Amino acid sequence: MRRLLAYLAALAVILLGWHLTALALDSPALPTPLATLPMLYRFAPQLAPDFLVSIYRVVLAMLLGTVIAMPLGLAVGRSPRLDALLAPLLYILYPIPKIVLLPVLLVLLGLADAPKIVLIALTIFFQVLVTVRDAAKAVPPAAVLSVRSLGASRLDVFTNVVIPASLPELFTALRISSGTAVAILFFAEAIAGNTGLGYFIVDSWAMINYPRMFAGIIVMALLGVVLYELFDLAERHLTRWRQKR
Amino acid sequence: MPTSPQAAPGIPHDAPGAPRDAPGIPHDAPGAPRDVPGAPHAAPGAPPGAPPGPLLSYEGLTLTYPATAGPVTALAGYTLAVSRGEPLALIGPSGCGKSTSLLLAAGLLAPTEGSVCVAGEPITRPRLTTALILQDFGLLPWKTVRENAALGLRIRHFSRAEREQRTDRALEQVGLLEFARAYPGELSGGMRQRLALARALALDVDLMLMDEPLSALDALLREGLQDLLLGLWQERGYAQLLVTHSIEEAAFLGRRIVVLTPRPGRVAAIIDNPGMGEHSYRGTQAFYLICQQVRAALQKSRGDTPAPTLQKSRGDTPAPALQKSRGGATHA
Ligand SMILES: Nc1ncnc2c1ncn2[C@@H]1O[C@H](COP(=O)(O)OP(=O)(O)O)[C@@H](O)[C@H]1O
Ligand SMILES: [Mg+2]
Repeated sequence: MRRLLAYLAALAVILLGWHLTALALDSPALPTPLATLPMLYRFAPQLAPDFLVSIYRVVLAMLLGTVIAMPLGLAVGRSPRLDALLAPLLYILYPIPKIVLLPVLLVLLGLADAPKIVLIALTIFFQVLVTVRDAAKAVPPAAVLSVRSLGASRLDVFTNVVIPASLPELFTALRISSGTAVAILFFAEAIAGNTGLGYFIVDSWAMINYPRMFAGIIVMALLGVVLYELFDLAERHLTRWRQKR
Repeated sequence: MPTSPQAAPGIPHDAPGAPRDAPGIPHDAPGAPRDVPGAPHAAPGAPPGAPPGPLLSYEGLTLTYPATAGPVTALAGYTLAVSRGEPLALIGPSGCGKSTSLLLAAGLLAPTEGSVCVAGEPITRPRLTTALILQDFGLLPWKTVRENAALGLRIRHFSRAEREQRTDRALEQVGLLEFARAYPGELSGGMRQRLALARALALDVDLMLMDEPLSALDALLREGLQDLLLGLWQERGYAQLLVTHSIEEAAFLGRRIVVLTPRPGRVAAIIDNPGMGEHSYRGTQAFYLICQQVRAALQKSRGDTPAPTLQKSRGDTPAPALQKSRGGATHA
């Protein structure tokens, strides 16, 4: 309840700030919050297909990156030998902004869904890999020894200790990367192809149709917020034990 | 951000590279009576049909950790036997290999040389009725109190009904039944300690290994938990190997008190403590004398580590006598 109130208050502050900025700028590129509502309504039918395409791309990409990176991160985190082998690779590859690979992917994979999904999945992959590896590494040895003293197999240790210990870190990583994922999506869609919210926004901009452009921007911003909140919700649900401290 | 590749062995995922087939001191043939007849193996919990001989024995044991900065020998020439139902306290300077000796007994480490036997068998993997309670209790914060207590039974695939019955009994015994649905994070330090005990009790253990179980608790709590440990031992009758750095705790909970040398650890002295076993023991003259003996033995073991000189026993000192253990000779 307190949380909800704080949330609503923050929302009110943001809307007010937006309203005042829009009034001060007095530009068709930044309408007031109230003015955007009819725009959203007007462009909803045109927006819907692009919105769905964008959601599909970003969700599938994040899922792919996570599903591949999670087991690998757990394994690397718990095996000093694998870690010694892969750590130098990670050192070099992790900081590379994967978005610079976009032209390469466009040449290799065409202009449709594939390059966008692969690009986002790559970014998420490295983020999740590094996060999960560090989390798995940080599992207290005493917890592992205790569980092993109860007769736990390697698999038992993973399911009872290493995975639950890494989940909060994983969801934090996904939550924080969801913004990056939407940003990459926008960029990739704006540059290549003729589908998705990114294309919709840039297309409207080129047509100098500012209300249409702004409707697209709002929906893309909402996509980011909703993703973030979903991961936040999942994190809080899966790590209820953490709140009870 | 990636952190540096960690090659340090730390606590290994698997047993460190100590060969298990290292020829140690040969064990006695099964059934060979190695006990001195009439030796006081007054084991309250010894089951009638149990094989003779100690429940846990270390024989001429050496353990070397293969650390990156050069191998570390934690224990060398370590020989010790614990009878069924016997409560034993282990005390020694920090880093002398006390925790290591518990990991060996729990089957989580393999000796570099020599052997560790539990119930007459060399121990190669964790055993169903041995419990290990580590310093920070090893509880899983994402499992409720009941789930934590039932963990050993679940890993061993006990039936649901049996699991619940045993877990509830154990939780009841440590006074945590009403907190069954809480998470460890919601418990106080003393309650977490009791939860770790419950997890062991649920397994109906006959060997309880505890690594400084009370050192994280404040002094007031500690005495209460010492009383609980004593009561549980009396009721359940398991053999208990309790590592502690508190002389008073050793004197309260150890029928024998084993004093180790600095690293590499081996037994420096064993002090008999026949008066142990009463809650009122604390504060008696005998208790005080035992504490003094332990203190003296600790100081001595620290001072002249390599010197194998036998402590000259003064004729006028009454029992309990301080003994030098030599090559694992059973105490008389
Ligand atoms: N996993 C390990 N790798 C390397 N050295 C270790 C490891 N565990 C313990 N040691 C070393 O072995 C010695 C004995 O350790 P330990 O058994 O924990 O001592 P205690 O419990 O008596 O304080 C210490 O010097 C410690 O540094
Ligand atoms: Mg220790």
